[in-house]
Amino acid sequence: MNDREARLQRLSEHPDTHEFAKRRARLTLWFPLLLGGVFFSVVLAAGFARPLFGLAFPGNWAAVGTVIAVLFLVLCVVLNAVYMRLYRGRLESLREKILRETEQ
Amino acid sequence: MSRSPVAIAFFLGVIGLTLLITYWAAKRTQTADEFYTGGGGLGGFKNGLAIAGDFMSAATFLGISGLIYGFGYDGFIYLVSPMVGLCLGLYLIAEPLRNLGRYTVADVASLRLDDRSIRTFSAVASLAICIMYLVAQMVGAGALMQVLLGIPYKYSVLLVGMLMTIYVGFGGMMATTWVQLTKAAILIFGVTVMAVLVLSQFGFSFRELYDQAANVHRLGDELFLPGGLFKDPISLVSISLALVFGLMGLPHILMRLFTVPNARESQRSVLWAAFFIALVNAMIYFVIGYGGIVLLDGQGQYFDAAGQVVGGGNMVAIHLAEVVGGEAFLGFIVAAAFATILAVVSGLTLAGASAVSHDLYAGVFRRGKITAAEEMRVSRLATIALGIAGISLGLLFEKQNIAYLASLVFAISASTMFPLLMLTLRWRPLSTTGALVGGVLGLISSVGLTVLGPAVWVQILGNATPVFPYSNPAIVSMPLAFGSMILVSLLDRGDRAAAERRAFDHLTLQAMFGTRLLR
Repeated sequence: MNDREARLQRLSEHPDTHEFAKRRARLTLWFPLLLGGVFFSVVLAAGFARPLFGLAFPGNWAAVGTVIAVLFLVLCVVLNAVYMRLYRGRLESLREKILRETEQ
Repeated sequence: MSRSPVAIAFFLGVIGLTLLITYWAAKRTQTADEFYTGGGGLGGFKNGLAIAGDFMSAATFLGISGLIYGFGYDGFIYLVSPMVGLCLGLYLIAEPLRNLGRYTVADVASLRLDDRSIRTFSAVASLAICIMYLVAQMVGAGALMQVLLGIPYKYSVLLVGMLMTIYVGFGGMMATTWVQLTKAAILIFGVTVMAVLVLSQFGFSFRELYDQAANVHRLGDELFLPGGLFKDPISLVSISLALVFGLMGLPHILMRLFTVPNARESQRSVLWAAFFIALVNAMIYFVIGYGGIVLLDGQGQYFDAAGQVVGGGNMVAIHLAEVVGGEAFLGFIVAAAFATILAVVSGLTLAGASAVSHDLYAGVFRRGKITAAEEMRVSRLATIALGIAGISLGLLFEKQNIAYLASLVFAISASTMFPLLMLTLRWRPLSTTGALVGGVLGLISSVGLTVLGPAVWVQILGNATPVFPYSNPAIVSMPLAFGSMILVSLLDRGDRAAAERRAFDHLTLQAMFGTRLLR
């Protein structure tokens, strides 16, 4: 077994690797689901608005549409910031620990 | 249009600056690693700016402005879709791709799947995407330069083709990166100044801007409501799928994730890119598009006898630049549009050349038994070949309606590269056979349904009604690609498939912890 394979084996056997994989999987599952869910809800709402409401839009829909676009951009920026914060806080330190402890 | 000395001076300035960048970069591009990744030492902020510069084409600045001008609210799809695509890329792709790959997506996929077949498919799909996108950009560039600067179409195409070949051939990723960075900075500056100048005409009041736009536009208050451009929900969902997921499979965008030293910088790159693209798109959507509606109204010199914008919808932002900023600002914006074109075609050429030299020639044909110097030579030859192809196809398609090409590129990417990448990284049962069957079906269905759709079957081939009713096929081709990759993989009980599943465990470890640490 060469050095690379030995290192991979130590990584797979480290007690914290499974926890790391779980935390990473949760983070990379919920954020895309949340963002994708909101985005495609907005898309579906925009797509079905005219077939459902026809030309008889309530008077304040114009403002609502613009507000939705603004809020969505804000959501993207906030989600990204939260993701990076969580990634650094929960994942990076654990990753560094596992790498340190499996070096030899 | 404008042949003013100011516009020409800015135009020549852009060419001079980019050639200077290439001269500087060429001295630092000696190895294959430097050609493909620029040495791999670029920081997250600069790479993010370069990704933004790579992605934001003339279609972003000029096209979206024109869409808002003509159809109002529905243009928001083009505003938010790239943002969503990049955010999803941050969560799903940036870290594992950087940890696993060297130069191309095929490097990643071939870590667990059969090297030759997956590399061949990935390279062919990448090449198809790059060439189609390149044709769309070259035709757009030729038409734009002809209108903006009076340079005849064929000379515009020749000029753009020669410049991109020089940038990439001599300077590789280093030159491409700095051209894209420079262009992004110029574009962000230009769009910001334009947005401020436009808004100042309305006392910096968005309410005043939107009220006047509704009063002037044929759609009235419905300008701010969905349904102006997309008449049914299926079309809207289909284009959204293509734009969001297709972006995550574009070879020239993904290639940029290999130019940073580690996964953390890769994530920072995507974060910054999303920010810059959102910033530019927001200014275009919330100010420039609607500002064009009001400020061009009554300016007869910008409309032809039929009442259409001179030069088409893509010229709205250009005319607006002259209205709010005079000849000097118009010249600057024209130069920004030209720089935009150069940056994108350079990225596409580099990605295409990499697919040929690294994936097909070095990986498949020579099976990895090739020196770095030889691979560099082949990369440069591939660059020249792509330059010639881009120029030739740009000249050939001069009179053709190629609007469907940009849409098709995203649909192909969403139906081939994206499913391959996602399932390679995230799904253990994926086998080579499943990946190939799904990828080929995705490619055939995306191209075939586009041909059978309104954009080609009706508008180009002259038939009365389309066979496939939607302009963008992603709503069918993407699920078809994923579904067939999954189904065929699950049915694949061969020894090779079993070995590929075992290889997934190692790949996951490497994706989490980074292969460079393990070499």
